Amino acid sequence: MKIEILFPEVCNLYAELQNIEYLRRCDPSIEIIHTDLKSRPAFLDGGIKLVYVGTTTEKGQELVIESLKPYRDEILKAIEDGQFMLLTGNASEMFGKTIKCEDGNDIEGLGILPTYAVRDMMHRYNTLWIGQYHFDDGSKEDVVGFKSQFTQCCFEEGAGYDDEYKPLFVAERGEGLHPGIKEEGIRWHNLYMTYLLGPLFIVNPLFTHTFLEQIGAENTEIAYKEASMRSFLKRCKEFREPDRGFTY
Amino acid sequence: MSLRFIAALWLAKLSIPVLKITGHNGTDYPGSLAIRICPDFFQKIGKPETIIGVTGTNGKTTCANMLCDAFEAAGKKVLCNRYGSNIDTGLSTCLLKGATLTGKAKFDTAVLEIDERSAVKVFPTITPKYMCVTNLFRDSIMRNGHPDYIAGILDANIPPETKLILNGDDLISGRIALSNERAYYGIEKQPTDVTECENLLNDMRICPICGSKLIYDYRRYHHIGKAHCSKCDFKSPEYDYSGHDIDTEKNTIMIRDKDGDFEYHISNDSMFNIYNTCLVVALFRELGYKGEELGKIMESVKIPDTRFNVQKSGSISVVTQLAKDKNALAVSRATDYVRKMPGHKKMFLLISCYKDERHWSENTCWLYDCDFEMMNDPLMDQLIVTGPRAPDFYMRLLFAGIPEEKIFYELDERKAAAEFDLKKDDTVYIFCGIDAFDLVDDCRKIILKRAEDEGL
Repeated sequence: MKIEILFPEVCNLYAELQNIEYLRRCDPSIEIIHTDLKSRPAFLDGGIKLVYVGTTTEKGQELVIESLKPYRDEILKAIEDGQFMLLTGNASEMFGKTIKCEDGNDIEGLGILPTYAVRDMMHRYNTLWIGQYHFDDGSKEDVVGFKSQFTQCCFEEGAGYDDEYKPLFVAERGEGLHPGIKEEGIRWHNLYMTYLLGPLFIVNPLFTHTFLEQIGAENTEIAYKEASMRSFLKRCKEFREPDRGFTY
Repeated sequence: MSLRFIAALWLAKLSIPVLKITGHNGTDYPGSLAIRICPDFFQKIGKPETIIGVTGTNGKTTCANMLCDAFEAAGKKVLCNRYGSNIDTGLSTCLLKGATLTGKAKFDTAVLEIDERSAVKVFPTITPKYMCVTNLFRDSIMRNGHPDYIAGILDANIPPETKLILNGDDLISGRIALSNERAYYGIEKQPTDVTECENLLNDMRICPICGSKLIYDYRRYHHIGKAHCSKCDFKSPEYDYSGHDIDTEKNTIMIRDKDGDFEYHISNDSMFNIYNTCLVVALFRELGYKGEELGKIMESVKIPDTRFNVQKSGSISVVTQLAKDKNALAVSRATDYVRKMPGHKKMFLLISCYKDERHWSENTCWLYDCDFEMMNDPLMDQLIVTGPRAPDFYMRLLFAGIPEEKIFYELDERKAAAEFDLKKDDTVYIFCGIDAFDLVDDCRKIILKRAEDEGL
């Protein structure tokens, strides 16, 4: 199975690339390929199971949009055809309609997701997060993470969570996609987006296992399972303590 | 001068001995009180004619202290915020301490460590004659976001008349406030330099002009080195103060500038601290000190003990290495330094962000930006993970490929110090953040006492 990391030279903040390395540690048959800003994404020509884009800087977002713009329609078609794609942190903002900036110089995104982001560079939003991933059969599993961002993401007017755009997670403590809602992230076809950092997979052994199953990995056993679970369970316990501050 | 300002100044000054008596020396309270009484206190308080600012992600406290030591060695008394904080309230505290009862500056020169994130509040009021920038790297994810963000803040706020003293080997901080006058210091190619990055953090991979791949002529660590663009004519700046011929036995470095080549003492052989020496030399040369004279001054400049400290008992050495938690770069540099030290060693990790732990839970992303892989070394005999984040460190060390049997896991720090495997001739490196000095002291004492009791 091949996983393509798009633009590791800029989309590499907060150790996000270790998400994919962790998947490879779980399933050593995974082959990771890297595509830079000047190259055509390999997944557009097939043979890639998962495409990953991680958090980047504000300048990085503009570079990514510029790089992907020529392929916008092909990317949309690939997603509609079932291409697995994971966008963490602010990566999804490049795939939305607009990034609204304080100075009025809004940035036009790829317009693949019906969302927009609002930047506030003088106020960093930091929070702990605990919630659940909901399975189709009604069961659920705990998910933890951190949010640390300058933006808040919202659906465009007329769009929202529905049968097509489902929340990836639901918050138990902490906010959802933006303050005031409990739904976090989006799952649309096989595109998964979330603002949760951690790195997401490393701090969430249960969800990693689920995700590996969903993308059809050969091995879905978690690497360093005992250590990972010990850390995960301690974090779940901490994040549920009522006196634990949640927003920084 | 308003009555409100005088009241703020006097009450704040009065609070200083009160705080001293009650054992609260070194807090921001006087400055914060003054600002509360007189909101424009920071603007109104008298300031020395020459202000030397020091900022950057890592090494700013060390550099500011080194600059103060150098001024003292040169026989000049300067105002500095050595014992206070580096944000607006800390700077106000420092300035009011250095002011007369009417609010006039008593000193003609100040060395002020300035928090890079506080530039927005500080620079409208303070115009440094020189601004020394150590480097810009990733810092606390929660506070600083990423280095590009901090560079943007400095860019937008450093006054245009300030001359910058910049690290020519850092393409991030080296490119701030491009229209300001500047002088670059740097260190020429070293035998240990590489071209491909060996670190997880590598924040300058593409050309800032055209976005093409940067090619490093030499790379010291992370993005520090000399690079040029693979497509356009962008390249690293030329040094005005060019370090070369580092002699770690004699503890000296040669630094070439427009007037010649001079020898200077280095008080610590880590590359990070040699850069700090270059910064101090560059600033003093800019101030007009002669090379030979500065050579003598630099002999008195030491790295403060809280950053790097060695204590011995019998054959056991305990090295305390400041490695700011939440800062992957600081810990990576310390790790790299330790792995290059000769002999067998043990590493005792006290970097659990104890301050955060009191009221919330640490964002641990930084652990996976940090080069713990460097600890996977045959000479690293044991790694002691302890404290509230021990499970996260344990997981991280396994991820780094460190064999499970080399990791000693114990949540209680003092118990860990008492129980890990201590052998004759061991060197134990304690990695600590700035919020755990008491704990570090306790653990160090326990280890040294074990050495004595166990006859090691």
